[in-house]
Parts: sequence; structure tokens; C-alpha cells
Amino acid sequence: STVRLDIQSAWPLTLPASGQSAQHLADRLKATSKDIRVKLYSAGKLVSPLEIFDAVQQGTLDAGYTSPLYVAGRFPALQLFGGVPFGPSALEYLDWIYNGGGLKIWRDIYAKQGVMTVPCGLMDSEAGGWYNFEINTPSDLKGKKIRFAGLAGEVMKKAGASVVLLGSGDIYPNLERGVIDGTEFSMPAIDAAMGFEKVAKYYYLPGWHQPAAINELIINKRKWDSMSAAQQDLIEDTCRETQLWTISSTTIANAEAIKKFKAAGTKIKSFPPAVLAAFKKSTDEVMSEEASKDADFKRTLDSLNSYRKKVSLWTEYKGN
Amino acid sequence: MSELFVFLLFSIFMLILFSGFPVAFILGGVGVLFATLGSILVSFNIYDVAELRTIGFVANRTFSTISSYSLIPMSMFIFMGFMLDRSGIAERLIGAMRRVLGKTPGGLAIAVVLIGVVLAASTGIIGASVVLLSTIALPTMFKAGYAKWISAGTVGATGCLGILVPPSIMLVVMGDQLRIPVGDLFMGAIIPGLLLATSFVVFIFIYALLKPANMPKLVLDEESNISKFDIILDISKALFAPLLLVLTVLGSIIAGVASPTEASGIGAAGATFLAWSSGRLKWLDLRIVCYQTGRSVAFLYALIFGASCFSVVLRGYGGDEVIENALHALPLSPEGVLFCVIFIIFLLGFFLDWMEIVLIVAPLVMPILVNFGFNPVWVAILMALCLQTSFLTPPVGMALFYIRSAASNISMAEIYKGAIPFVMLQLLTLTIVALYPSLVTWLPN
Amino acid sequence: MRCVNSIVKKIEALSVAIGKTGSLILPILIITILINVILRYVFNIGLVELEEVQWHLNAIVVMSCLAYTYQVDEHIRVDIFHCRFSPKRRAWVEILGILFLFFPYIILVSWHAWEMASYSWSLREGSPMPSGLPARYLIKGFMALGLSLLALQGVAILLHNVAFLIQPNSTSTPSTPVNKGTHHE
Ligand code: NA
Ligand code: NA
Repeated sequence: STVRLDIQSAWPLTLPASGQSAQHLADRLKATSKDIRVKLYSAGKLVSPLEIFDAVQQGTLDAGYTSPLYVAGRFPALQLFGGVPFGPSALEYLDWIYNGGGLKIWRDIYAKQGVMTVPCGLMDSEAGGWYNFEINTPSDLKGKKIRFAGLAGEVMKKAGASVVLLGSGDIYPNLERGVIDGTEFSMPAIDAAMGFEKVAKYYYLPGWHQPAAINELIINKRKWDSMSAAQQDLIEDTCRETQLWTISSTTIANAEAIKKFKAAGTKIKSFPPAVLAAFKKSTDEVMSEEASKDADFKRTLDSLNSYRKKVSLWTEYKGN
Repeated sequence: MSELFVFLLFSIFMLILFSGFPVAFILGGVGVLFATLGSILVSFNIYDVAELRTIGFVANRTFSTISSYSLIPMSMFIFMGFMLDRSGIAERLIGAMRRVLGKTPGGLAIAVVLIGVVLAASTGIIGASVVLLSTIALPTMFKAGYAKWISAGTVGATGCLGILVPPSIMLVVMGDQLRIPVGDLFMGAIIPGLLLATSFVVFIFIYALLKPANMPKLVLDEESNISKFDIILDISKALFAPLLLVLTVLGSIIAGVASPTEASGIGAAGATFLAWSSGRLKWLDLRIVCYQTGRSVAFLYALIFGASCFSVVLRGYGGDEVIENALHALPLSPEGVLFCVIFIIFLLGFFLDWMEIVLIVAPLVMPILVNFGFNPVWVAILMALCLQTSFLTPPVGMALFYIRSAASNISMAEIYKGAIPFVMLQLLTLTIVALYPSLVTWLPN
Repeated sequence: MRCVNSIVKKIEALSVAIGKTGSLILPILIITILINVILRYVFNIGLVELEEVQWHLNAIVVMSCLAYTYQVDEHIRVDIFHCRFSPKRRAWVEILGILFLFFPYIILVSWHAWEMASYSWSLREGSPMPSGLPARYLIKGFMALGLSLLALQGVAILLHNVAFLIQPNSTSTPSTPVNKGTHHE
């Protein structure tokens, strides 16, 4: 029988990679299915992005297109599905999710809350961020105010930076007025929409804090169970197709964005090896601290690490 | 189908509005009634409606609203307004001003406008300014022989300046709803606000020259032997404290030193200090200011909660698409659509409060206008200018009610008549700002 | 009738007490903001906790004053006709409004709010921000409480108006005809 699926995206539907992927998913489902009637809402139309999970959990909303990072405060382990500092590359990430047991853990954590998740949108590497100072040694970060989120934010704290959290609309004015000295945001194509090149001198590439990330379609479990196997399969397949669509949707736009930044006088830099080594060391500390606090985090981290170890012979030989 | 339901939703709301039941509960209640209707329709296989479960979003949205950092300035600016009201600054100002401007044509009315600007720049609430000016200035104006209607118009329009001139809770709510930095809105509103005040002064001056019978010059008998120096000293003393406060609060927001929340907190503390140092603040006063603020904040938030329920049900019925399609279907240029939107807001302002319009209508039309390439700060300020007229337009003009409640010896008809020239001046200013966007965009850049 | 009156009085006393107590948090909020400002600009310390404390305090003010504001009849009304209605007619407006608009809305939202709070409690939810405040279920619970108190205040106003219609002399006029909007907006 026909099933109706109200989905809200955590991002505006025009935003490259994230919001556009939600639109792509909805368009594909509309084109390929006669018995799934999708209604897609843009960010904030029904609830704020941070409340999508609650609405889906309670069944007020059928489904949400979002990032696992948005519920990291409650389920810390989910941070490892939304992007890992010094983590796997995009393909290796997918590999772990589908073949290395990642998806099972991911679904286990959500199942306890009455929510089903379908990985749905592979995001390319993020940039290292916008700064108004040069980072030549790890100590250059001391006392600087930086906007950073999640695990990477903890890493920056260990480097001596004071980490602030700002809504995406508040970053630009605060960077402009010197309230913050730097910010991590997203990949170049998305950063370009924010106009950061007008208020920051340096753009660091590549980002160490998120080599790849995965968005998800979360669905209320009762809703999911009410669907036929064919409907469920179609959603799973469409999301797999969306993974591919998303990662290949931003390559040209990223390159063009960097060209635009260069033209605007932005200095493109990369982190020196000593700085990266310090970040890596702090990342390992943060990871083991988190693992000691939360059993699910430990289980997820162990799964990811053992998978990476298992495939390392091949990944190292082929050299990415 | 969607069009029909959206039309019904709005018209039933408007109809019940005039019953006099609290607006916040009408908004929420009509939302729930239509969600119930939606659930019934779905059982008859009629879709694209809001269902009862939609009300679950309202709880989430209520939490988002109370946890919003960007709405805290609303509470602080209201507190600041009530506190300044206690400090007796306005009384001292009017005493000083009338001596300076007494001999100028329309001098007393001009003094009221100037005081109104100072009040506007120091509070974000208009009710307080209108009532304050009505109780202090209206009797003085009547005694000096000013026509009642023009006096009421001056007081009403001037008292409303506070909603446009920053700090303004309307701009705080707009910033929150439309995702525009409040600092930018504040800066964008300064020049239009001053332009509006200037137009009031010019109008009063010319009118007093043409019709001196309605605005006679003051007879200042008792003060004829006071030196100019004393007058200047007097007025400086009266102006010093509030101006310092205004400069601190607005200055720190505009210079980017403090966030609007921080600045509003400093303002609230500063106003408390002023009231205390003038010897007018007792423990009881502080408590009364808290109670007043608590109630005002509660009724404003209740409106936000109710409007959020109404809006989410409206979205379920496809309200966004209906409005978007209607605007795109107009055979007009982007400028034409903008004009249409502003005109509709002006018309709605006759019946609705600024809150309902900012909460329900503005988020619907803003994305469409921004997509046309208009500067969002400029569009928001145009809306704000337009909403400001809603305080003065009958039948639902809050400023008019305030005057009526504060001054007993004037009829509603006279108040309405007095509002007309000032509504015209506001529309004139709106037109000027619409023609010259740089009046808004220059300061934020 | 006397029994009804005493129930009404008790509920209203509760609304007023909670509202007045809650609004006295405002000076604490102001002080918190000042401390935050001083820490940031003098000592160069930015604390996420302190910023969260601010909206928590503000939220407590709002939620505790909702019922109180209805008790003193300051929830804004479009009263161009209302102020000319007879006391009886105003009582009817209030009764019908509470039964068909207020109750469906406030009770449904309160119920969802309690669900939110209890789910939050089951997770022992804290702030999603690193180093944010713990125990987010408390503030969610307070939201549900404030809405429930508002519903209760609605019951009091309903009873008061019904009592007035039945025995106009035994109770005071429920809603006062004067325009109370002297210091709003
Ligand atoms: Na103001
Ligand atoms: Na009006």
C-alpha cells in the first residue's frame, strides 16, 4: 500500500552537498516509486535542525535528513559516523560502514531509541578552516578564539585554543569584528556561500578533522516497519545512489571556490607536519578519553580501528 | 485545495480575533482545530494537510524558542524600559526642553519629538513611551492651547519611534525569525529612524507656521529671568545620563564589541543604576519592574508559541507553496512583488499586531524576496517601517489605545484624526527608504 | 459555589506566587550577563556554561510568568469590540475560548512537552555543546510545568466565568473592562 513519508532536511535545500542531497534523494524517490509519497521540508520549516531527531523519535516527523553529529551530545558514539579526525578516506569509510560492521553498530544505537537509520550522502573532505593568524607551530593556537565543533573542538582545546560555538549565521560577523580568530566550517563549495574570504586572511587545506563524513536518513522505527520490504529496499538503494551523487556533486564546485578565494586575495596554506603531528597526538588522547567514558563509543572506535588495521596492507601499498 | 484551506485558516483566525479572546491562544487553538480537521480529512484519503501529530512539533519549537540565545535581549530591553520609566528622566527632559524650544513655532511639539527620540533610543518598548508622553506631555500641550488631535498624533507617532529606532524588540524578534544578525538590523534602522523623526519635526514646524492657532507659542512667564547658561546646564544634566546609557548600549553593539545580549544586559544594569542614583529605586520598585517585565515577556513569548503552532499547521496545509505560487503568479517585476508584499503588510497592519505579522507573514515572504536578490536587511527595515504604521492605524492601533487609556479628556475620533498626518509621514519615509536602499545598507557595511 | 470560589482562589494564588517568584530571577540574569561580559573582556575567558545559564534563567522567567500573566489578564487581546461587551457576554467569550481554543491547544502541547521531558530524563540528557550544562531534562521539565500551570490557570478562569454566569452576584466580574494595555509592546 502507498506510504507517505514526510522528511525534513537539517540544511536549506539549496546548500551544496548536504541540502541538495536531501533534494536529490526526494527527487529520485519520487521518480522511481509509485507507492512512496515523499514530502520534503527545508531546514527549520517544521523543527530546528537540532530537534529533528526528537521529532522522528516521537513519530511527529516520519523522517529526517540530517547528520549524526547533531545528536552527538546524547549518543557520543555517533560522532564516529559523522566524520572522524584523522579518520578514513571517503571510500574506506563506506567500506567500513557496509562491509566492516559499522552500519550494524550505527543501527544498534538508534534501534534502542526506536529510530532506523540509512546512510545517505557521502561528503568529501572538509577544509582546515579560516584563520586570521598563521599556524606555523602548535603553540600559535594558544589563547586564540576559534569556532570548532565536536571531537575536533576538543583537540583544539588541548592545543590551548579557546573554543567557542556559534550558529552558522553568527560566524561571519564575529570573524569580521575579531571576536573570533578563526573558524572551521565546511568544504570550499559550502564555505564560498558564506563569504568568509572577505573577513579571513588564511585558508588552510586540507582539513585533518574530517577527511570524509556521512549524512543519514533517520526514520521512525514504527514507520519503517510499516513499509513493505520492497519499499524499504528502494529507500536503501536510493540512499546508496545518493552517497555517490553527493561525493561527486562538489568536486568541480570545490575547485571553483578555491579559484574564487585566490582571486579575492586569500592565502591558501597547509598545516605544517609538526602541527599535524600535535593534532594527531591530541586526537588519540581525545578518542581514548571518549572511549573510556562511553561503552558504545569504545565499541565503535574498536570496530573502526580493527577494520583499518585489517585493510592497512592494501591501503598502504596502493597509497590511497 | 491547498488554497482553500490556507484561505480558511487565515479568515477563521481573523474572525475569531475580534471576539477579544487572547490572541496567543486563538493562534494556537485555531492551529489545533485545523490539525484535528486534517486528521479527519486524512481518514477520507485527502492528503497534504497538517495532522494532529503536527502539534508535537509545537512542543519542540516551544523549546527552541525558550532556548534561543538571540531572544534574551527582548527581556533585557523591556526591563531597561520599565526601569528608565522609574528613573524620572522624561519628566526632567520635558521641563528643560520646553524652555529652549518655547519660542519656536510648534516648539512644544518639537520638544516632544526630540524627547521621543531619546526615549526611543533608550528603550525597545513603545507602550511605555506612549503612555509616558501622554501623561507628561499631553496636559502641557493642552494647557498651552495646542489642538487636541494634533497633540495626540504627535505623542502617538513619537512614542512609536522606539519600535524602529534601536534598541527595538521588534528588530530583535525579526532577527531571530529571519536569521539576520540583530546588530545589522539595528544599524540599518538608525538612519530611517532619524529620517522619520526629522520628517515629524519639519511637518510640525511648517504646520505651526501655517496654523498658529492650533499650535500657539508658549508664554514662559516664570522663567524669563533664567540665563541661557543655566538652561543649557539644565538640559545637559537631564540629557547626560540617558545619552551615556544609549551610547554605551548601541555603541557596543555597533562597534562589534559586545553581542546584542551582552549590550542589553549592560543596558538593563545601567538603567537600574540610573534609577538608583536618582534616589527613586526602592526594593519595592525593583520588584515591580521585575513583575512588569515578567508579564510583558510572558505575553510576547506566548504570542511566539501560538504563532509557531499556527505557522506549523499552515505549513502542513502547504501555506508556503500557496503564498510563493501566488507571488510568482503576479505579472510583476521583482520590485513590483516587493511593493505588493509591503502593501499587504500595510493592510494587515490595520488588523494585526506587528508580532503576528513578523512571526507568520515575514518568514513566508522573506525567502522569496531574498531570492529576487534584494538585500535582506533592507527588506526587513522596509517591513519594520511599514509595521510601525500599524500602531497608528485603526481599528487595531496599539498606540491609539495607549493614548486613550492614559488620557481621559480626548475622544477616540480626535486620536484617529491626529494619527492620519503621521501615518502619511511614515509612508513618505517608507517610500524614500524604498527608493534609496543605501540609507539602510550604508551603516551595516 | 463557595467551594468553586475557593478552588479558583487557590489556583490563582499559585499562579501569582510562581509568576512573581520567577520574575525575580531577572536581576540574577542581568548579573550573570555582567559576569559573562567581565570575564570575556577583562579576563579573556569565554564560558559556554555561563551563556547557557543565561537562556536557562530567561526560560524560567518566561515559563513561570505565563499563567501569572493570564491571571492578571495581560495576554494581549484585540479588544475593540470586547471592551464594549456586557460582562455576561465577555464571560461567554472566555468560556467558549477556553473550551474550544485554549484547552485543545495548551493541553495537547503540555502533553507533548511532558513526553519530551520524560524522554530527556530517560537519556539523562545534557547540553549538546562541549562543556555545556548537564541535566537538560530539568529545563524541559520546567517548560512542561509552566505550560501545565497555564492550563490550570485556564481551569480557574473557566470556573470563575461559569460561576459568574450562574450567580452573577456571588463572584466578582471575571475580566475587568478597562484596557489594561498600559505598558505593553
Ligand atoms: Na528603541
Ligand atoms: Na493597526
